[in-house]
Amino acid sequence: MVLALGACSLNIQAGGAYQQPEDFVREAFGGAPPEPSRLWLDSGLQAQIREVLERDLGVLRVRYWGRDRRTAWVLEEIGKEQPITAGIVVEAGKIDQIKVLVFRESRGFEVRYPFFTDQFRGATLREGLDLDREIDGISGATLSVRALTKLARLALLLHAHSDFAAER
Amino acid sequence: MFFILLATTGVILNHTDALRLDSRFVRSDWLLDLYRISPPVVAPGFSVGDKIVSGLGDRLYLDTLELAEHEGPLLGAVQFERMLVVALPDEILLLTPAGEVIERLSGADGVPAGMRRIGRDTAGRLVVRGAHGDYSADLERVEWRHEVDPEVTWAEPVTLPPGLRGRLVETYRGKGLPLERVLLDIHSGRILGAWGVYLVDAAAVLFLGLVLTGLWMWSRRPR
Repeated sequence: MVLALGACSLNIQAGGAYQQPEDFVREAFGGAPPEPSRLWLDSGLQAQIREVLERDLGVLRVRYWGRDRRTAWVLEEIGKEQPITAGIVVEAGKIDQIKVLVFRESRGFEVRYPFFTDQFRGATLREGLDLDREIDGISGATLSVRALTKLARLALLLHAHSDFAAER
Repeated sequence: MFFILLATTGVILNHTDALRLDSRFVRSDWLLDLYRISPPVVAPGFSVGDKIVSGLGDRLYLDTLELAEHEGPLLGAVQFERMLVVALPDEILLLTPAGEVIERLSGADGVPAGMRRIGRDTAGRLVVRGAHGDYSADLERVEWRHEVDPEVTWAEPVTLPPGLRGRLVETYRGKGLPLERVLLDIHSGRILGAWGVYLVDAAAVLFLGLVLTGLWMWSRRPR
């Protein structure tokens, strides 16, 4: 019996996991997710990632899912002390969806609501690896907002280097 | 003397970033002893080829190369398809033979909960034992199957050679106390414990008294 990705329980506190990553990926591809792909991070890309995250990603490759010009990424970044897991879908170089999958901090969970995440829809990466728009913050959730903004930039950057960046 | 120390440490601390004080570490044994930084009990390691993966406290090593921080005990390590695969309670690390982290797989990637052991079965598949049984791993598709050959060679712990053990302890202690911490504690008096803080307080009050009485005397001088 094949166990689907993420079928085993996440080791986190109850209430912090809003969606299993494999459900997010399935949803992102209309119920028929593609096989996972891998993006190897060469030194040039690692330097750009460092610019976005202000730290090293700490791995040599990243797993993602892609079809046509659409990719889905499950990425993590520290909010204040704990990592926030976000699922991000990029279509033709623009953010199509960003969703908080697991939130482990005690404060700042408001970033999971659509009133915040909808701001990213359609965002692209401009020169300097910044988003093409300002993202309004949430008082009391500054670090979570910053983490999600970094992840959005990272997903756009990784998408641009993926096999699905251009029409094939 | 006291004020020279206070001023000097203050000036140095003002340039913490430029001097990289938070990433320079104290190696002096008596200072490390003063801070009671002693290495945790050295646990057995796991032999992978001609190298040994071991965990000391919250740090993971390939021989003496520090790989990553982690929580919980090291469960095992095996060689698999030109990679080293390291099992931790909630995570699997895929490493290059040189110790670079290729990928970290966690519960979000379907890693079986309650992992206890890692090994390879007779078909050469990577196998982990979780809370609900044994699983073979397809690392390409990141899938976990309940299909495991009956004979599994599990990673078995080995005692660290004394030389490696000594170097690990030295490495662990050598990254335990940043210079910034010591300077902050000298500046605040905490290096002498709770009484040290009061001593610095008393000195500050004394210094304030000197300033105030100096101003008072200056204001009363004949003009």
